[in-house]
Amino acid sequence: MMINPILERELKTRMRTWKTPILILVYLTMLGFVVAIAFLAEFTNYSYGISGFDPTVVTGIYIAISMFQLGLLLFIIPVFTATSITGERERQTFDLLLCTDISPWSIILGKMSAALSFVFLLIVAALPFTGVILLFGGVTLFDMFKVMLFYMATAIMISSIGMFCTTHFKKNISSIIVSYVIYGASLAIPAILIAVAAIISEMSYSSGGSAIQQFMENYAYEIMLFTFGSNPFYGATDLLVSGSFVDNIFNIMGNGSTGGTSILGKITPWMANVIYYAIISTIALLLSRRKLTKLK
Amino acid sequence: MLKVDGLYKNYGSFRAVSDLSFHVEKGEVFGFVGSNGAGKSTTIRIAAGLLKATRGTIYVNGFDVSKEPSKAKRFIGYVPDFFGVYEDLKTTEYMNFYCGVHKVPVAQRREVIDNLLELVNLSDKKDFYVDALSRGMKQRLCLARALIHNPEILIMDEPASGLDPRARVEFRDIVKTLQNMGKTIIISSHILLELAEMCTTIGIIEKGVLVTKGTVSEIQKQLSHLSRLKLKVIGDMEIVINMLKEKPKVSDITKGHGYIECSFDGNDLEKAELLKELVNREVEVFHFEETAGNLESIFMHLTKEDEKNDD
Ligand SMILES: Nc1ncnc2c1ncn2[C@@H]1O[C@H](COP(=O)(O)OP(=O)(O)O)[C@@H](O)[C@H]1O
Ligand SMILES: [Mg+2]
Repeated sequence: MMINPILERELKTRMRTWKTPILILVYLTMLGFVVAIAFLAEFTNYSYGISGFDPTVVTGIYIAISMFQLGLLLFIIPVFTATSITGERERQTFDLLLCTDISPWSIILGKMSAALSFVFLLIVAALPFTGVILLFGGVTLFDMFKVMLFYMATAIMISSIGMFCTTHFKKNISSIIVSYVIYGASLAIPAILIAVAAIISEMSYSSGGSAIQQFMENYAYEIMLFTFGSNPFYGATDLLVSGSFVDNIFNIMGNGSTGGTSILGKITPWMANVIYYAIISTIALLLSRRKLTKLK
Repeated sequence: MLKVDGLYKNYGSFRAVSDLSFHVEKGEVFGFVGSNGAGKSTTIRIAAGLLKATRGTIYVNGFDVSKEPSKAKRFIGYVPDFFGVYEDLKTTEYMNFYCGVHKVPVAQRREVIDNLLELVNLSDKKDFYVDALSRGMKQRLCLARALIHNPEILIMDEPASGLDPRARVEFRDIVKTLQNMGKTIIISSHILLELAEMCTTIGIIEKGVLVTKGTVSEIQKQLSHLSRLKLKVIGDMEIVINMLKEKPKVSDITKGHGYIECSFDGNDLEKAELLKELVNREVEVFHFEETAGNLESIFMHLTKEDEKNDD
């Protein structure tokens, strides 16, 4: 078994530049700030001061770090994959790959795994911050492991969108911008669809006919899955806050129970995310491959 | 070995290559000559599997590049008209990367890389970063890269442009070595003379159309009726130039320092008559010489003819 040559090259050169350690340092510093702020905020809330750690305080900090980390990843990942092929085009090395009989999948997987290995490095480098939480209880190692896996799945989805853009555009900068736009759209479109449906239902309610209203009430949970399935924070909240937070939203929305009325009700938010991820990634990667195979 | 068959390439409504057909036999060193924008790179990129032909195709060792691209690509080593190097790699790492791309087994890579770097005279630059290599060295590294999978055909797009004379000589020696190894080589250039010594065959392309093809001597023979005359006169050269312009057999008139050159499409008797006429019209000719029809003037003539047809 030979290691993918593109992955090998990227790892070699990436470990050699100063950019890598600096980026990791910046990343960890930012996380460090969040930890500090979270600590301060939590402790000023308790009038009795530092009289021993309250597990819920520690859990709160853990959630804050994890959420912040997810946000950082969402922001950073497109920069890596969305420039992977446009970068080669810009320095005129891409034709030299295409004129060999290397398969488009090798190119795509080489580039993806190089970007993901870096993301993985960031997640692992941040472990000490979250690992400390284990000492205080409230969070188990297994909980953390689940969150890490979920973040990796998220990273794969975002990288696939970056891959799609980098294969379809000529310039790094347009590829990066369009990946943010596509990702933003994947968050917004389901939400807009639901909003439109809600407005229509509201109108039909006032005019007496309430079929849509009825439907939305009966399938409130499923509609949530659809609306927020593309949003990693949906699943992350579910995993980090062990369901209670998501439950609360439902209570606020006036729908007592979580699980829905259909089979879909068995799907938890993070599962909805993963299903979305699988669909988005598959489409993005198939289109990327097609683009690499098709000559102009 | 390489057969271009009725090739057309349009970029939008612009036709870059038009009904191009030619054949390069095994072991030939084919010079693909044409001025800038003639369609050389376009043709080469189609052969390398990087561009789609609008119509027609190119066969590489019998494989249609559009139908069986990965088979065809195995026979071709492509050196583009730009460097395309990863500058953050060392010479051997750069080669190792393309060994990986070509699936050369790890155990064989060292030998392959050593041999190729030796071939292109870069053995002493193994631990240099590609960034630190000179233009000529980068060019040769690119050539070594193109040979990793031991292709039977090597296609180089304007390899000599931008090289200093010394690098050119080195480059020519490498081409000779490759020729002796039995490779079929295609080299493009916009300078005919640059290729005349290296190539066994020359094809001249202009505005996407193949103007002529043959061995260097065939091309000269084909145009033997076309001679180049050089004359020196006393008095106003412009008057003489205007006289020459009236003659249908005279073309491509150029004015040098104290002399006039022109192409003449006619036999010796007709040349004598031209001289007689000039003298009769009281031009004081003190030098009248037929210079050997050199390749560059033939090239100028051929590509100029094309412009005339266009107008
Ligand atoms: N991607 C492209 N889009 C539009 N026109 C192009 C493109 N590439 C080349 N051309 C045009 O096609 C013609 C032939 O180009 P090229 O094959 O590069 O010529 P050469 O290599 O002989 O100098 C030129 O007029 C060039 O401007
Ligand atoms: Mg060119």
